[in-house]
This record gives sequence, structure tokens and C-alpha cells, in this order.
Amino acid sequence: MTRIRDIANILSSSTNMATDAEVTSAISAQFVAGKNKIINGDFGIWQRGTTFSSIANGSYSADRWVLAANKTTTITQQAFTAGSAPAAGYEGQYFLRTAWSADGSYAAIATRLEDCRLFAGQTVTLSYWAKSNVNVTNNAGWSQYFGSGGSSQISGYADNTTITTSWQRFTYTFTVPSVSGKTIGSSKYFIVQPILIQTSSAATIDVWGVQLEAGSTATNFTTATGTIQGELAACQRYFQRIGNNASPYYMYTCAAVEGVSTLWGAVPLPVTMRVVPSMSATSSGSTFTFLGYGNVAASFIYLDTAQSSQSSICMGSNTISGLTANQSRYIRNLNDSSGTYISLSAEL
Amino acid sequence: MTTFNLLETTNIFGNPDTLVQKIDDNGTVWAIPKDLANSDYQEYLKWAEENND
Repeated sequence: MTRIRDIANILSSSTNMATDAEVTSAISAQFVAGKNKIINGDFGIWQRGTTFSSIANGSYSADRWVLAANKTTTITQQAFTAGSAPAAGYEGQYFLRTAWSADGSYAAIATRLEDCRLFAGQTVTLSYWAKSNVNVTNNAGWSQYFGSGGSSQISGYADNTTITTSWQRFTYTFTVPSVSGKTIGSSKYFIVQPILIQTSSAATIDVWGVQLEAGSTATNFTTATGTIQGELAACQRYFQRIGNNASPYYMYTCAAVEGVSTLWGAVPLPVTMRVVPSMSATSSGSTFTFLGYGNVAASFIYLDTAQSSQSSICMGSNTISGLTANQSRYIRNLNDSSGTYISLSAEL
Repeated sequence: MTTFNLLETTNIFGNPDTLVQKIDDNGTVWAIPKDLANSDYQEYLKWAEENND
């Protein structure tokens, strides 16, 4: 503290020594990367898309954000009008909007953090901005999930708060229990749930600027990494979408042809994923193609999970025909490729 | 409702293999690695136990 005070005084050429309160305030006001444990708390990353109509319970929308609801739900990315972001001095670009119908009885937006040991035994503060089209009662919450084969889940919830029709920052300070004596299984995580409504009424809720940090004070919002590229990379540890380019047609990799119907290639990933990912190939028609010695189109790409790792996936085909062994091909989207891509999921 | 499917196929070496597929609530088909750290594989194991697969 003394050295910080000295530096502050030197920089400001002040003849008056800064007080402890002034120095503490100056420190806490900084946008420090790593302070906020919520990845994509500013809803800047949407690899899966920006509109999710009738999204299923348990599905992701904005990166890292999962729906838990028995209400019919539509989630969309919304853009702030320039100058209208709710936090002074921080121009957010997007926020998340959830439109919940009158059916069902509960709905929540949550994120899962690695892992259940996070902040164990510490006092933490959750903060977020929210507004709604109607006044609605909210109960932010958290859970320690000890994984498959682990101890029973522990949860806590904030007292009732009312989300109104104007942007407002909400804070919830709580103590995370110690994990001493707990059995920790596989796939464990810590859940943060800024929005939980329990009502049979419809509501459209906007949320932005979710932050979870150590201590009992909600400091200025910052993203987990402090940079746009850092947030994307942090998200890609859990999910990556590759190839969703309309132009140029996305080139995945070069592939070796083993036989008349078999070729394989490796695709290095830009970010090492949390675990070997689940893989999905989505194509709008016959939109993958194997080029090099004449086009061979295929609507199905085979993803070999056994030969894939956290940093590289194996893709190709074992069902097409027209290839010649010992040639090489490259794998790319054929043409109408805006709906053609590979999805990789290593979510918690 | 999420369901799972076992697909008989061949791997990169041309050997017979069984691929675990997940069809999620949105209808997306996923190839699931047989890795206990993968949450989809955990979900499959639970599903298989409940369905005596």
C-alpha cells in the first residue's frame, strides 16, 4: 500500500499524501483482468448464433451461458445503442435478452465455472445489471456441484430482488462453503445463476455485466480476461465452431486418401479445449467437399473421436466413393456454406 | 429429449469401432469421445445405466 501510495503521489505530483481510502478506491476501480471469474460476462461472444427461438432446456446460447427453464424461451443478442450502456465509463456492445412465455413455472440463466473448489471458504460478490419489460422478482443463486460420484450439491440464493424496467446493478454477497470433507467426482463445477424467476407470468429480461469476484464489494465491471481476444479464447476452451464462412469457402485441412471411400485429415485447434470435445458436423445440403483431383461432395463428415485430442481433431469420411488411394485432397465447404460448420463442445 | 445411439463403424485404421452418438434436445447429432472427463460421455453412461443399454 505504501509503495502504491508513493507511486500515486509521484504520478500526480501531489503535495498531499493520498489517504488509505483514496488508495483503496483507486485500486478497486481498476479494470483488472482475472478479477472477474465469469467468462463472457459482457455477452460479447456468440459462437453458436445470435437468435435462439424455443431453445431447449439445458442448451447454450451466448458462449458459457446455459438455460435452465420449463418455460418456452427465446434468447437473442441485443446491441446497446451507443452511449446507452448501463455502466458509466464502460461501453458494452451487446447484452442478452431472454423472452419467457407464461407457460411453465421457472426460468434461469446460468454459467458453469471450473471447478467446485472455486472460491471455497471465501466471501464473494456477484454483481450484474438487469432490466425487464415488467417488474419481476428475481433470486440470483449459486451451487457447488461436486460431480458424478461426488458429494451432494450445495446451493444458495439471494433474497427477493425486483428487476424493474430500467437498467439497475444488483449485488449479492455470500460465503462459498469450504470443500473440506467433500468427495469430489468427475465433471464438477461451480454454478452462477444471476437470473432465476419463479412465476407463471411472461417476462422479457435483459442482462449484462455479470461479475463474480472475491470480497464483499462489487467493484467496477471488467471481463474475465480484459481483452476481446482473451474472452474468445477463454470461451473456446469450452466450445468452438469452425467453418461457418459463406465466403471464402472454409478450408478445414488437407487429407490423405486411404482408399476409394476413406480419407482423413487433422485439424489443429486454435485453443486447447478443456477435454477431448464432443463433435458435430452441421451441413445445409451436400456442402462438404473433398478437392484435389475433381470434386467429391459429401453431406456427412466423419469425426473420429478416438483419434482426436484436446488440441486437434480428426475429420474425414469413410462412406463416400470416387477417391483414389495415396492421393491427397483438401476438405472445405462446397459453396452454400454459411450453414455448414463443425461444432466442438467441451462444456462442463 | 436427449437420446443416445451406438453406431457401428470403422475407425481411421479401418478397424471396426463403436461410435457413441448423442442427439440433443435441438436435434443436433454429436460424436462423443469415450472419455470420462467429457460431460456428454458422463451423460451417456448415466443414460445407458438407466436404460440398461
